[in-house]
Parts: sequence; structure tokens; C-alpha cells
Amino acid sequence: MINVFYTQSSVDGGPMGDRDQSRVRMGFLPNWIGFNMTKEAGDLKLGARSSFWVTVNDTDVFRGAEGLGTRSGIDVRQFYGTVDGDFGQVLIGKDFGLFSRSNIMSDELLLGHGQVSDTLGLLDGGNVSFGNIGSGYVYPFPVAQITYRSPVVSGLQFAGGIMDPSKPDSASSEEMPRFETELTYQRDLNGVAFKTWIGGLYQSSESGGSNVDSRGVSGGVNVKFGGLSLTASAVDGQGLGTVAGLSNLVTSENNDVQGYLTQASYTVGANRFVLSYGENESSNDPLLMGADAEYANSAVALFHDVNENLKLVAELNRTEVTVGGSDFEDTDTIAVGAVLTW
Amino acid sequence: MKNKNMLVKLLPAAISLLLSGQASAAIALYDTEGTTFSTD
Repeated sequence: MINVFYTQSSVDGGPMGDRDQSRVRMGFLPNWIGFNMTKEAGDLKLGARSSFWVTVNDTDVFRGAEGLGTRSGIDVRQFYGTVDGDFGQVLIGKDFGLFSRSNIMSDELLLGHGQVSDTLGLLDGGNVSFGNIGSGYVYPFPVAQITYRSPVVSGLQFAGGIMDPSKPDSASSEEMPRFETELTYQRDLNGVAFKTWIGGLYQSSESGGSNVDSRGVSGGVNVKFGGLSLTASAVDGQGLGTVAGLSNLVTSENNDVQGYLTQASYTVGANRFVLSYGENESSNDPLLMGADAEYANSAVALFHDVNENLKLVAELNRTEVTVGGSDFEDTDTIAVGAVLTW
Repeated sequence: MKNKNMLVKLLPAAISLLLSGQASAAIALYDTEGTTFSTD
């Protein structure tokens, strides 16, 4: 998948003050190439996926470039094997987490651009924009895991896994792995497609004699009928995430992160029109010296399918950041781009 | 001199054989029977 946008942002406030910035950059998703294989072995089906997620914005030394810009930034976000049978599926390796997973996968802006800000260093970052990470949900960070998925029975599927636990600091101890789950239910009734999900996360860390229990609940609903699609999702977590909305950041138990995302889209012919609003609140945020933060993004987007493999995108995003109850940053971003898939 | 000229003529063919041999060895590193591959 290759996606590149021309973007123009206008920043009011924020850590760097008022400014304008143009970019030619990737959108919400990095560019990637993935290799998949499957093989029947008796009653089992064995599978594997390796994938390489590449930034094309890795050449500026002020955007985190290494080797004066000649080294490429490549993430291996999915590198796993699967064993499928009558019992369901077991996945071993590195994949996205389960907590908040369907929240992000259901984002209408997944193939688009979404929010950027100077507050999170995204406007001039050397990697992706953030979609609605931090403005509606928490990113289910790719992590080493052993995950079981049940067969789909009457539209219901359970997924549960143990994950490599994240650490609040290098000296912390985690006596147990991180646990993540997701339960999904899908049904088609008289032309109406309905999907709902609920996920959870728990891990415990001990550091310097104090304990941090990180926990979270995620969920959402999507209804489609005709060309209309309506989605509402939410997350609620403690001890993880921060205002950046990253599930691998373990914080303290008084750092609450709550968010919701509401979206409507209408598809007519080759065009999908999207309206999106979401926000996160993070209390006692360690990235903001203990302040409370509200982080919201409003978006209008148009996705046009030229054909099955080429999509054109135009987006307007307004990202609003409030810190300690006061307006901190407003950023307006226009993004126009193309997405190639195979 | 004649033998040297012959060697020069055969050298490209020898290199070509060597390279194609390496390519065959690489493909044979995994079992393609019953295995399906896809990319995205």
C-alpha cells in the first residue's frame, strides 16, 4: 500500500506558536508491503504474515532522520504465524493489540489523514499523521502476543491473548503478562448490517515500591444500511495511554484516558463522504507535567475510488487541544492525496 | 593464445550458469507444494 498526501496546516498557538506548514507526506497509515503464506497440514491450516511498514518522510534531520537522512524507517508491525483448526485460531508473533482494535479498524479515516498537531509533534513528524489516535481512541500498539480466536458462532467471536507487558520504566517488574480481549458480534438483518464489539486490557507493574494497575475498556457499534454507515465507539482506561493515546505507554493510576468517536459516512457510486468528530480526555497527564488535557478532532472527508486499486482523498481537519482548561492549540489541516493498494 | 580466447568466449556462459544456479537454489529453500502465497 502506497499513500502520499499534500497537506497544508495552519497552527494557532501550541508549543511552537502560530505558524503555517506544508508537507508532502504519508497519511494515517504508513506505506507497507506484506507477504502472506498458508498451507494445509492435515486438519490444520498454517499461516504466516510478514509485513514491512515504511515511512517516506525519513530524510529530514529535524524530523528525526538518522544517518543524515539516508537510513530508512521501517516498522515490522505484523510478523506472525497462525494455526487454524476446528477449535479456532492461535496466533503467535507480533500483531496489533486487541484493546481498542476494532475502534481504530472501524475509523472512516483509516485510509485518510486525520489529526496532526504541534502538541504531539505530528505536524512536522517523520512518520504518519494520527487519524483519530488520541482524538477518539487509543492505538492498539503492535506487540508480541499469543492470541486465541474462537470460531465465529452465530456472528459472535471471542479473542483473548497474553501480550508482552509494557513497562513504566526500565527498573519495573511485571509478574504477569498483559491480558487483552475483544468480543465482536456481527449480524445482517433485512439489509441492515450490524456490528458491535467490546474489548478489555489489564496489566500490573511494580516500580520503586509502588504498583501501577493499567486497565481499559473499549467498545463500539457500527450500523450500515443503504449507502449510510454510522459508527460510535469509546474507550476508558487508567494507567496507560496519555494524551498521545498510545497503549504501550504505562503511566500512573491517576492518569485517566477517556475518549469517544462518532462518524457518519454515505457512499454513492464511487464516492464516500465522511463526517467525523472525536475527542479524548487525559487527566494528570505525565506528558503535560500533570495537567489535564482535552484533544478533539473534527473532520470532513471525501474518498473517491478511481478503480479498485486507486483511491483519491480530500480531507479537512480541525484539531483542538485544551490544557489545564485553557485553549492551547487549534490546527486546521487540508490534506489531498492518493492511495494505491494491490 | 587460442586457449585464452576460448576461455574469454566461455566466461559469460559460465557466469550465466552460475547465477541461474544460485536463483534455483534460492527458490528451493522453501516448499512450494501446497503452499499459497500472496502479497499486499
